[in-house]
Amino acid sequence: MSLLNIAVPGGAWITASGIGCINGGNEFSMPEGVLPKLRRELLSSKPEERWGRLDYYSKAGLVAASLALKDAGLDSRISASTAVIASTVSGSVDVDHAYFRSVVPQGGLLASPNLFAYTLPNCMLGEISIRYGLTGPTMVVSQTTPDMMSGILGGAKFISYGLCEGVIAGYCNTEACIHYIDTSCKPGAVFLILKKAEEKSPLTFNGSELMYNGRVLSGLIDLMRELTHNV
Amino acid sequence: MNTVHITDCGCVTCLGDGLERLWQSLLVNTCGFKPVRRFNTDGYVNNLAGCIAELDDIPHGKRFPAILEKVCQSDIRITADAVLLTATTKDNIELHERYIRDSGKEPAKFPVCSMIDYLAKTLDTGKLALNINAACASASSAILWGAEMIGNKETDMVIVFGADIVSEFVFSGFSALKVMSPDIGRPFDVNRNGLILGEAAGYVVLMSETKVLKEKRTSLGKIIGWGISSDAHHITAPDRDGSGLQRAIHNALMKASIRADDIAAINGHGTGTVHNDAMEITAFRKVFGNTIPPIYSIKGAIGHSLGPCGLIEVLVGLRSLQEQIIPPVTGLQDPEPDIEACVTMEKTSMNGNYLLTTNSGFGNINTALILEKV
Repeated sequence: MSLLNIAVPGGAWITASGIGCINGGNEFSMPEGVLPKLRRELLSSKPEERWGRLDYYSKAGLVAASLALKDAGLDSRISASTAVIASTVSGSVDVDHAYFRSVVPQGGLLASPNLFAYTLPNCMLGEISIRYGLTGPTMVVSQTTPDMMSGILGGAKFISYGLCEGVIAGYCNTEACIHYIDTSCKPGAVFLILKKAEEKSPLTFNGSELMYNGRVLSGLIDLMRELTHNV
Repeated sequence: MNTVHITDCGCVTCLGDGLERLWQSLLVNTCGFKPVRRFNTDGYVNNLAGCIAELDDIPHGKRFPAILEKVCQSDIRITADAVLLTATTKDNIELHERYIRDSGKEPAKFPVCSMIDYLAKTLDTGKLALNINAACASASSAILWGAEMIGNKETDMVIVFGADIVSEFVFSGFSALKVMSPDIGRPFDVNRNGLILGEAAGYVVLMSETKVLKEKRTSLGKIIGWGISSDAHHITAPDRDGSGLQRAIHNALMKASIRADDIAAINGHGTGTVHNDAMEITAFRKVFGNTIPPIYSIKGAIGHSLGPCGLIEVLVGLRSLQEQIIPPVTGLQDPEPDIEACVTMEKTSMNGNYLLTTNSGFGNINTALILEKV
């Protein structure tokens, strides 16, 4: 395929070093450690009916995607056809375990339907699409490569395939990701707003790799450093 | 775009190993549901599921690799350049069940996707291996992704694998959500009252026309259209106006460059739950008007296998096109009045080259694939 120019009008993250966004001039880092507590006010000053039902994975994904849209100035006027894609390793494992703890004691009689509803990792993307009225494709991808990039690459593919005009693409893992065999994965949620750029852009996609100013990016951290250093 | 062919496929379900056994069982209305033996079902609304009998005797924690091993016993013909895409909703969830039950132990290290690990080793292919999780639309989404890769000339061969097992984790969940039928599954029936779970594993090999011709492979059928869309409505319940599914079907028809009235049959998601089937009927009515083609669902025979269901349904759809036969809707007794003329308890003949297969899942996702007879 020919080189696809990609614009990144906004992006945001929640990592063990804090919460930040690309256009806010924040420094990006993704250390091991404890992720910050997430308050409902990060989403909205109004009451959020569904907030209390969400596990940390869903909250982190929803907040990071919402802050990314806000960073791009698109939180109130995003195209309905926008897609949502994320990569994960640990996915919904915290709620999986909480749910199965509700199953064990009395042979399933106390199994929690509210917890079970969030035991699929793509439900976090469903929360994003419901909140912003997005009807484009959504899916969660998992890959055993250490670059943490498969969600972002998947988003670039969505655009190159013509499945959507824009995409909220990212990465979302809770602290539980340290319990997975892929030890290179870091806890945190990172979402970017990707769109096809009409003009030459520093970020390009050749069908399999993302490049910044012609240099192949080694992974998510490399990409975020380029994006935050070149605002 | 490159034309996307299916050149090889295989599956294991509760109705036996291989597509031939599944197909023949479907034609004579065989239901594969049996009482679950692998965990206690006393606390749940039903004790039936479409379990593969052999897996019952496999130790807890080993059933998921065992179902993969069973399907890999087929002579899978791929080349080293094949891209591996997998589709599973819960992978080896029994490892997590055991971790919770043995709560005093140190946390185990879990595999990211044991299915990719197993298949990459067994098939000696792992190029760009990726698992796609889109709930019950996982396998159809993976097929769609593979079709895009071939269509856009990124690769000439993709193998899509789908698998999920019947586990207490999932069984208890559907029981708790009150979407599990207390008796049998009755897709598109006016008295339908929920789904029955099943387990399955299967694969399809997608190949570019260039490679089909170069390697003198036989095409089993083509994938000519695909669409994917969210409802933006609810995490677990479908949008009652079926607009997400409609969009997915419209996109698939546009991609295929055919009209709605070219579709000769529909493999519906047809879970047998009140709201899913009603949503599908609404969507089909809006797309096809008063001329909805014959609709069937195989979930009344093998149960709802979740992640791989869309893949198994593509296999049955291919066979349906090849044989020009529409399988009966097992479990159906009293069809929904709105589609009475479109569903049947008997196998019927069809006359056409295109079949639509649809899936919808938690997270409000819908997919549509269009298959073409060769």
